[in-house]
Amino acid sequence: MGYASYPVLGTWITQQLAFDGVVNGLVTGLVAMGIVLIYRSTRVINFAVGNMGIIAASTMALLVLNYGWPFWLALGLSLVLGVLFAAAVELTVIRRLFKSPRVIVLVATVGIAQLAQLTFLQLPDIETSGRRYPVFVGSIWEDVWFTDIRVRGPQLTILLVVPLLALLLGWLMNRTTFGKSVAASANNPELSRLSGINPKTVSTFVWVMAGLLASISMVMLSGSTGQIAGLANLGPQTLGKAMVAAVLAAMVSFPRAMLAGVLIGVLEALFRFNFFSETGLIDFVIFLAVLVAVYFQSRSQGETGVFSFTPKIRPIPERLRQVWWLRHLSRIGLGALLVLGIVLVQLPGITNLPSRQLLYATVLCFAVCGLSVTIITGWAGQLSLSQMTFAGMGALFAAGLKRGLSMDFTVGTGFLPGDALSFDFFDVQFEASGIPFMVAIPVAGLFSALVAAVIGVGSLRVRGLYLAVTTFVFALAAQQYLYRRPFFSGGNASSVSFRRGELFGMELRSQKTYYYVCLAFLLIAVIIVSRLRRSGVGRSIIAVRDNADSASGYTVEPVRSKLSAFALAGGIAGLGGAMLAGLVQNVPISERFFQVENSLQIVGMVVIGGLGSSVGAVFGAIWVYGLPNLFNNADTVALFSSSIGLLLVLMYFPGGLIQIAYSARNALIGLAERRLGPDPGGKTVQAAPSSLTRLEDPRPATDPMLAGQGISVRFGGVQAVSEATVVVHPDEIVGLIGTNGAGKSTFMNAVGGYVPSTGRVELLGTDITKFSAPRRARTGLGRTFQAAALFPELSVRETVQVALEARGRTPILSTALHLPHTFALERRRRAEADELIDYLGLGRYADSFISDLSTGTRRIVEITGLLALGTRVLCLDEPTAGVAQRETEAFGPLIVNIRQELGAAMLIIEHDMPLIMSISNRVYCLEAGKVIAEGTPSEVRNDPLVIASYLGTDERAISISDV
Amino acid sequence: MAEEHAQGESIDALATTVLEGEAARRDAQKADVLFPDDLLPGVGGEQTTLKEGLRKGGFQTFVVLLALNSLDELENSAVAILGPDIGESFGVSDGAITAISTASLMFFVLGAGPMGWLADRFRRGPIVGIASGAFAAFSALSGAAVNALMFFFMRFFAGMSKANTITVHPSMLADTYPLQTRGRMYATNAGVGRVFSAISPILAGGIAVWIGGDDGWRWAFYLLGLPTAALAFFAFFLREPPRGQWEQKHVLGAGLKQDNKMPISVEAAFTRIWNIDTIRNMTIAFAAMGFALFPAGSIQSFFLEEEFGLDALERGLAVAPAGIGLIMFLPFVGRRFDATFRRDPDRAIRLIGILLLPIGVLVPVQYAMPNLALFMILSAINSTFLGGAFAMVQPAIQSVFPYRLRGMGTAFLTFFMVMVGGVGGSIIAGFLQNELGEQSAITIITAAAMPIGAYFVLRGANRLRRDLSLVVGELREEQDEERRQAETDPEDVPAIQIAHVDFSYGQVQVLFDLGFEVRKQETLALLGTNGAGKSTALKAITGLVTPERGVVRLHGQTITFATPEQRAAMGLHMLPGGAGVWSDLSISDNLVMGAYAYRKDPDDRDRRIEKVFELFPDLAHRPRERAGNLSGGQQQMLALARVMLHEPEVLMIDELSLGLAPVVVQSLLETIEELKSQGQTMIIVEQSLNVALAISDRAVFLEKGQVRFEGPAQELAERDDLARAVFLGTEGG
Repeated sequence: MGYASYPVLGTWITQQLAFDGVVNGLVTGLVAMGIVLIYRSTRVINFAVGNMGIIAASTMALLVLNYGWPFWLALGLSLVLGVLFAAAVELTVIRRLFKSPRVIVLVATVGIAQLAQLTFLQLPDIETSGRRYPVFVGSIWEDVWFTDIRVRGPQLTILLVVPLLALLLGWLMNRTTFGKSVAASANNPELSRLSGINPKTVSTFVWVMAGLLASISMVMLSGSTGQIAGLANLGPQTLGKAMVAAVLAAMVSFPRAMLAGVLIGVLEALFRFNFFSETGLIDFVIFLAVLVAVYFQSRSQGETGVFSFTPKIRPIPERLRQVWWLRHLSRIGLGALLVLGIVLVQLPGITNLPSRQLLYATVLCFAVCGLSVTIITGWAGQLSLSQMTFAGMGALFAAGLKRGLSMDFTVGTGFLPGDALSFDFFDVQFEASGIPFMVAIPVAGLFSALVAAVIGVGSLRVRGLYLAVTTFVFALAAQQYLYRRPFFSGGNASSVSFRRGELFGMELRSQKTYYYVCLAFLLIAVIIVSRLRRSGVGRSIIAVRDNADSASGYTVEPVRSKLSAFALAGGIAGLGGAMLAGLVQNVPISERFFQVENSLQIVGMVVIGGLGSSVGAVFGAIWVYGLPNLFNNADTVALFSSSIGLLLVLMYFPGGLIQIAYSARNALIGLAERRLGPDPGGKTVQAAPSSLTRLEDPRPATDPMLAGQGISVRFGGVQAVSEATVVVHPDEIVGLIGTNGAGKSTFMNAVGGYVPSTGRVELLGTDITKFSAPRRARTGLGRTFQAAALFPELSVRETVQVALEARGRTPILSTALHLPHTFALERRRRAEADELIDYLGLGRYADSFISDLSTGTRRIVEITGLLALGTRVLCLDEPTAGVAQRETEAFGPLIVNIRQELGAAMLIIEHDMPLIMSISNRVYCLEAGKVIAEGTPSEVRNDPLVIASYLGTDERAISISDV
Repeated sequence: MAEEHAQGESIDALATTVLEGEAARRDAQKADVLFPDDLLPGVGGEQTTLKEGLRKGGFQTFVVLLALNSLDELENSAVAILGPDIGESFGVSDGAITAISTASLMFFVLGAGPMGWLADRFRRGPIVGIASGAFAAFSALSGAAVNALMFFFMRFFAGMSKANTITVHPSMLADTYPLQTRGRMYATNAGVGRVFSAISPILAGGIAVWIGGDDGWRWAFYLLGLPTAALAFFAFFLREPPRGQWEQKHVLGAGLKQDNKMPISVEAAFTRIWNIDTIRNMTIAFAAMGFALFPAGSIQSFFLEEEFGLDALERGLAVAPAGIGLIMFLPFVGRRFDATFRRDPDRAIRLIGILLLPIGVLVPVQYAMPNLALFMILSAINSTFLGGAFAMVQPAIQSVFPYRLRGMGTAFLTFFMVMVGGVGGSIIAGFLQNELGEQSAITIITAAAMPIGAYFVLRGANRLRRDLSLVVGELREEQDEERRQAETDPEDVPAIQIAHVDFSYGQVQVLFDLGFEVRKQETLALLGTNGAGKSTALKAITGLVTPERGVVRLHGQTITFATPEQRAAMGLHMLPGGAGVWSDLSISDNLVMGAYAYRKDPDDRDRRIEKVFELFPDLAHRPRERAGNLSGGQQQMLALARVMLHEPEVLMIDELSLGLAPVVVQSLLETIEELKSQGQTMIIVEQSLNVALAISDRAVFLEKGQVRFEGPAQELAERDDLARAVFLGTEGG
């Protein structure tokens, strides 16, 4: 019969398929609206949105089919249960994480999704024997409305219910006081409370609504497919498409979410019709669409999703390093783990069973993959939900290398009816013969590092929560499409063989031998990762995560550092994946290990163990993959330990299991500290440090140090700075004043290279207009920021060491390989940092975290960093903001002295009139982005324009600090 | 000139000035206030016999509550005994009935919250009456159930109403009878409950057998409900004891006036209770022990069945004698607790820990016994220790609870123990049991959980003196306040009063015994260096943070436990520093949300919005503009407009001038002066002394979370030691 029985719209799609696509798309749109709803009210991307609905959907089937309940009664109770689940989740989990960073709540929703799955598994089995999912209208209408479209009852329900619900939701959220209070609670919870709105109650309401939406969607969708067996997968499948629709709607627009949902539905139908041999192609196309959408959207969103709950390991204070066992504390722990690993496999009874050895080795391989999450999420703060995909790519590539690669890279071979058009974009032929097992693995690691770096480039602009969505969709696309390319799969459908070979003559086929190889491999990985963390590489990555602008100001390239984190993490994941595949001697394509859910699970695993710590990944792997193997019912337990376990950890030990170890460690350090007596503190050396370099300027003293000429900056429709020209001469202090929003900070950002601008910037006679911010910093431009946020998760010493990267970047490879000269480099950096810290009297706080310091102290640290850089022109943005008045007064002279010490010129923004008028040689006043006055302090102060727009006439308001 | 000045000092010396503040902040330590022992409630004083104690509070309350509690226990055990009959009646498995009765434990916990909430607000006699009446009714209805589902629902409601015994009873007993007899009071209660629980099989089973037939069990429920119903009637008329009267009498020598209008929010109550060290340690202890204790019963049953081949009846008989030891032991424990508490309260708590400690060892030994007799002997020893310890928990925690929060406090404790320990324990024990068998399961969890529990109890004991001292301090403050309110003209009662407030963000304490007042119609400037706690003090007044200690009063009424939303309704409005607007909302939506309290009356709301638009015409021009796009000054105007929608009793402004251009500050000052002339009470947090002096009548100067100066603003400017040190470094600049 073929296509003849359906009318064909051109040759692309039939009416019937388009109709079915629209109906399915409506449900996707509704689920997407649920995602938008949660995002609008809590700024969280809800990964549990699909699974929340399967509880209702499965109860519905259970009640009707198993117990013979009437349809409406069953529907009522099912929806109530779905809503109750959502309410319970909000009350017990979401509410407790009310003040946590949004990324943490996102991870929690991953746990909630698994919890729903677990709950679903606990329900009695549905009696399916030949029956279809219960529906209200079972009829079928043929040839509706002069078309040949066939409409089934469940589809009609969807056509009626979804638009109604969508309109209702839109009205509720956009038109009512309740809708506004949702927006208000999300925007500023404290202010909402002060106005009598309880954000927690609002949050409960919203989750209840989301639970209802999800439940209705899943019940309707199940009715539409009629299938019962696939219920468990319904949630994850819908999630992917709905997430895409929500992203296309910029996470905020209900109508766009619905529209995008329908569009995806139609597209899916279109692809299924035209490319029926490549089922996953639609997922790949969707991935590309998401990349494009996210590229345009995340620019406008200032969301920074930083994992600031990584457990902080307290550095051992310098004076305690003389105690040998404290010095080697971290190594003692690692050694203990190693011994444990060996003992486990040596214990007769437990282990001489190859199946047990296999289990333990699985844990080890997952721990290696977990290390990649440690780097990308724990250090770089990028929530990637595709780490196991990189692992899978590594595994497939390794298998390919072993097998002998044949590359026939064709994309999108389409079979249009009648073969009208062929889609061969590429047709590259490549042949290579097989290489040994243990060589294939490292090469595969390099390959997956490359893939990850490519993805990294693609997501450079993507920040925070959006990266999670992008990588999630990438993982879906890989699982459905990329894995199945002949290049990877070698033509296999479900798994690719990957037989183990030998290593240095050791036969790896023995399970026990391979276990030891895995153990050694994990150990090496942990050692390398720990070393990188303690070196400039790790510090730079964390600095960029904590504060990319400050890092740029300290000459660290954010792009480079992010990419190295991506590549490093991808490479480690690839190695772990290849080892894992070697363990089972094949690479599963369509189930376990390298699927989307594994990527989600491994993030949960590392969070449970402790993000940011290399040992944390090992703990997590033992907990999530090791623990369930002690029990018979391993699947349930695995789901249990990764769902409830994850949620409990997020709520009670946000630092993960490693936090407990850290507490013990801190107690030990505290004990040693008490035995040594109090820290005398203070300075030890009085002379200026030798490491304080002073760059000589060969140019004549009259040439300007810094000249920003005709600088203009536009933000969308707002002209923030227009044609402003500011010149700073040698040894000069230039003040920049003006009302809030006059463009002072923006001008300074334009000069520093932090915002795109037009005009010309010259530094020490060099045209730096085209330089990046870090390069401008290397040329001699120093910058402090209004908030002095610096790098909260780094210690004072580490912060100064980041600035010292300006004197030569820490090489990644040779550091990872523990080459001797890298140790010397580290020691020198440390000594230089200590000198500078001592010089400013910060010695007592050298090992304190920046986040524990007051604003004033942080500003001192920031200035220490500038000293380390050897800055020639200092740009200070409100250096006294948030500093107590007495400290403000110390700051004036301090700034002047630093300037002298560096022989630098200075541009300074201040609201404190007495301060700025007393230290400046010249002052510029900005108003609406333009320079309205320039001259000596007294000239500017008496300028009528300045008085009218900025100073006013009230003496009390002008002389705020009254110096 | 600053340039010249700078020459004299080196960089590091200047940096040191800034760093000194840091050092001082770090050195600030929690200073404990410890009162001498004889002031602590329940410590010292004369010994009181149980009889004397009962006479002081009247016998009725004790007898009625004791009887109600015992009957509840009896009815509860009846479900277990009659389970097989019930299951047969409904045609469901024994397992289903067991599941229902186990679930009733959850219902019990669900009921504890609301019951505790009620107990802290209303007369407790009627609560007990209604709840017990409901219990009797649902008990009878359980007997009348026609199917398992209905039986389930009846047990659900019976469980909920039974919760009054764990939250309302202790609160009422604690307030009715003298402190010195609490140990014996609760021991007796627990003992009699035990006795009834033990005779339940005979009584309930007896009724069922006596009536006979398939429906014999129903009569047990009908009949057992009757005495409860009768007692519930009596409970209505029980005398309502004044809250905290015995603590007040012990510490102050007299009772205080009762303040029943005090608003208490669950959130604030929870935060406050969680901050009491003794309570926190005890809660963790019991949550940990819950892991071992909740699954113990079912594991024991399985073990007896599998190891010694006992059937259900035999198991019941085997377990029964174990209770006898406890019943005999309880009077000793009660007496010992009371006597010890009077001499040395820490030791009384330690007594609980010491009783718990051996169980971690004895239970594994019990399960290693070769025969049933030895097993039962050890079982008896264990349940004696355990029951003894548990009977003393109530008297111990009731001594440190803020007396207004007894009900909710007990509810939290119960909730934690069951939800963490009970649920977690059942799951873990279940897995271990399947995997390793009963003996290993119970050995592992008991050996792990009990020592942890005992450790935390002992740790809590160390903090008891401090917590009791806090109770004393609080009571004394209340007495002072009561005297003051009696002496002063009601017109002179301060608008805001905060006293003895401690607050920490995590480990960092910010407020130390902070106290000051704001008089009606005055403008108070709250001054101080960065991190002195100014903003936190404002947050404590608005309820955004709950102090660990101390009180906040508005016009003489205590509002310490009210939520920010409640306080906003009372007229406390704050303009938060730097975040005074909803940046994502439009100007008009900002005002609509600001006027959220008037949402029920849109006309009134619109009128108010119209009024502030007249005051700030700048905002009226573009109501659809997103607030985040406004300049700093305009945002501050909008924030001010938001609070001026109301007629605030007290207006608080955090960081009025921070980061704003002088010309903006000037116009803000004009608005403030206008408000001031209208007699608005205001608290203004300000970094700038000049701005503060310009507008305030009085100033409070904070340093390191404490008040260093309180008085007329002008006087502060003259106090060289304070003002100059903090504000005016160099002279004549």
